[in-house]
Amino acid sequence: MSDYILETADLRKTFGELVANDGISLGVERGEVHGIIGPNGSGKSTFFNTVTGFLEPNGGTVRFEGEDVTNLGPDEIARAGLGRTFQIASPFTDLTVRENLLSVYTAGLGSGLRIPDEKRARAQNILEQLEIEHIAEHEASDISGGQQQLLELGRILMLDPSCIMLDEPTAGVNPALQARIIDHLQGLNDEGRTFVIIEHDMSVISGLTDRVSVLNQGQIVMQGDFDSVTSDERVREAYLGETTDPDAGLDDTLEGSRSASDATADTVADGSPETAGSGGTSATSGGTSAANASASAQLSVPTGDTDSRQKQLVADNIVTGYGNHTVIEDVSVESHEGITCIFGPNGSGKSTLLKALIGAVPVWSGSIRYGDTDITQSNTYKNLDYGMVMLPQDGGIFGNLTVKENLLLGGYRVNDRSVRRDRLDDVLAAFPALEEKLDADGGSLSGGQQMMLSFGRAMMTGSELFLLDEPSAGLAPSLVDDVFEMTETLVNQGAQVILVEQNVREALRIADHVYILAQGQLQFEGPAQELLNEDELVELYLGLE
Amino acid sequence: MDPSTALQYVAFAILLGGIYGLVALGLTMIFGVMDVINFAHGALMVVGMYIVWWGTNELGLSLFLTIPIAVIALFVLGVGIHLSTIAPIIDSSQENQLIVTFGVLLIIVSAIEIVFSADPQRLEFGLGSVQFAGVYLPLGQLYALIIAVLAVIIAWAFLQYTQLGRAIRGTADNRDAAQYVGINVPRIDYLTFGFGAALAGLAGAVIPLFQSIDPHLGDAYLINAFVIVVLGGLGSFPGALIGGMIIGFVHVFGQVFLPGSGYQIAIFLIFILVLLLKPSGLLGGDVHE
Repeated sequence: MSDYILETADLRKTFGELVANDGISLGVERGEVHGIIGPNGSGKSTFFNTVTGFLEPNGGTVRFEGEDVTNLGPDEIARAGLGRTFQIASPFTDLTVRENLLSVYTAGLGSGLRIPDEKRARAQNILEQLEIEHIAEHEASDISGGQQQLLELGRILMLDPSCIMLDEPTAGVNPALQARIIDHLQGLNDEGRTFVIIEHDMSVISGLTDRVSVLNQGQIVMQGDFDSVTSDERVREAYLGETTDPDAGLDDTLEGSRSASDATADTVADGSPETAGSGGTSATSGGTSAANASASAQLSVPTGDTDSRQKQLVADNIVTGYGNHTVIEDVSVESHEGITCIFGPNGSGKSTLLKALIGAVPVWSGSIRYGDTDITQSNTYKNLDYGMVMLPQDGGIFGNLTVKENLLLGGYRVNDRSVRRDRLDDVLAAFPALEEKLDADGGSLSGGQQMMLSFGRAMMTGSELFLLDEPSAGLAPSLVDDVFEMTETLVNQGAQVILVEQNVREALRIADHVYILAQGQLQFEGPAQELLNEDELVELYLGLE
Repeated sequence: MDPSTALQYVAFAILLGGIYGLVALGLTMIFGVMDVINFAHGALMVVGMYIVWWGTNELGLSLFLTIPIAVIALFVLGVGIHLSTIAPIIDSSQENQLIVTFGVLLIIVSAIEIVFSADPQRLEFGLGSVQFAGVYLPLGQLYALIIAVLAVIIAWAFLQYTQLGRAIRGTADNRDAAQYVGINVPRIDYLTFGFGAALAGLAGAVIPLFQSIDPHLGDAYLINAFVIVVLGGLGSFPGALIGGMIIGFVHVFGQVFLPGSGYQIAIFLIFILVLLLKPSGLLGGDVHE
């Protein structure tokens, strides 16, 4: 039996209906670097919070250094030698870097008023070790996001922990500093400290970790070294989504996407003769949804540009982020005929990129054009006048307004009442399920209906370009198909779609053009059929290139 | 209590409830859309009172003129206050906005005190009264009631049936999503603050019809309006009207049956009871944490 420094047994944590940790039994060996990966919402951060006493578990035990620490408070656990950092570094912003280190209570509340010399010496050592001595007297609010991550690590080191749990230590950190953080972690590990690390950046995980555990839906689905984990089918399912048709391999999926693109737009159909064959997995064959072919027949082509050539959204060298965190680094994307998909792991910046394109997040540098209009400095509501609309994640419907009012607000920028009424009729013809619910509050609809309402509301704007932010997120598998059919409905009525998705395998069936984003940078760009090899896709997706 | 006296009190209660509803409607509108707790709301009422009193008494204008002038002036004042004080700090913490609106309250009330003195003022003419089915109705109160009820109906219809009204409710509901349907959220903000101020102005404008006014009269109304807004559910428009009526009845009947200012205690007891039993308010949807 191995020497586990940290061991959980059947750890469970639920939030109401949601089971965030579903019986996690994990042993962390002394001296190892243990990576924890898994898609968005798989329970990684909850696991950290439950282990370190920030959340009370609903069942199971946590043992640290052989002692049961399940019911200890977070401060007691920290002083016992199990330190942790948070995803968002949160130093005391009004204190200097040095004061932040000195503010750590190393001996509980009894440590008194005077800061002992040993503690000052320890802080000085850590400043030198982490190479942040030159900013020791700067206020923590003035240092970069990466330096804040180092400071966060330094504060934990003040407690001299034997095991440190790191929640995305390199998120939003520039590559140079990222390399330094990794070096420091490596050095601390060589000193004998154990690490448990949540990270989306696979280059960090692959270089640093001895073992990796993969979480999906609150359970550990796989454990092993990095290479064996990433080639495992269950891991791929966790990241790329399940294929609803068990017989459909990726090749079929890609053929489906090709036949879909042939039907809708012809720019990417550059003569691939093998597209015939299995039409069985073609994306249009679902036929269960309310969004069906009748929609395309009844919906009029949007007003405005009568030119047969569609306007194109062209974004060049976009850089943006939040606060001092760079999320998108020098990314160029364009809208293509049909459906343009943006894939990438959680935290890769997909949603931020989409918000930057629509104007909800200001870009730091780069330019965005839509047709002939420069919209770099534009904003969301002005962009609607140019003909582009975004469906925010989870649909963003108005829960206290009725379905009809939601739809009418979709036509807020349409001044002509008759146009608004015609569009309402068109939308209701496309989504008959909404007609029965016209007077119901938006919030009373099911998740799938809310997404339908969000589609309908966006169609009311009469836009020619739709930006969709993970429309299938949180929906039952059967509804995922419906969402993709609704997406195709938009294309069939002559619009372009930029689709951000986590369900990669499903979305590839309807994709015409694909971008893959990892750590805020483009890893791949090209027609969907170029993504022939799933191994390659996984590597691109995880940013291993 | 004989039936005609009871009816009399019911009439008073509906009147007061209507005015309370009007005050609370403006307050809840601003809170619902912007998450701003507007302490200046009572002071805006006072401005409305003094416009009507001064225009009618000193300039000899008709009430039909001074009341609409008060409403329009308060709309403009509200937009001005919003653009100059709230809009620049709309993204900062709620406490900051609260302090700013409190500052605006002090400035307005002090300015009125400097110009018109702190002495109570009243309209120089009485409006008389009518007797109807044994109920004695002072005309001033009756007119105020009619105006309040009309204003509430118009405000409700505006919010319910116009695109702008829907946009205001949509922004109150989901500020983030509002921008994605093309709503210019900053514009909705200042219009909402303007409308809220105009409703406060109207409520203030009808008060001189039945009681004497002073620069601090807004405070009493404001405190009860806060109770009403929480009672009805923060940000809920129908909740403000229903809450206004409840407090109107408690106020009037409390004055009859309870000694001294006991009615005010009753108001707060009901308030505490609602918070204990249904913390989101009577018509509150989601609880803001």
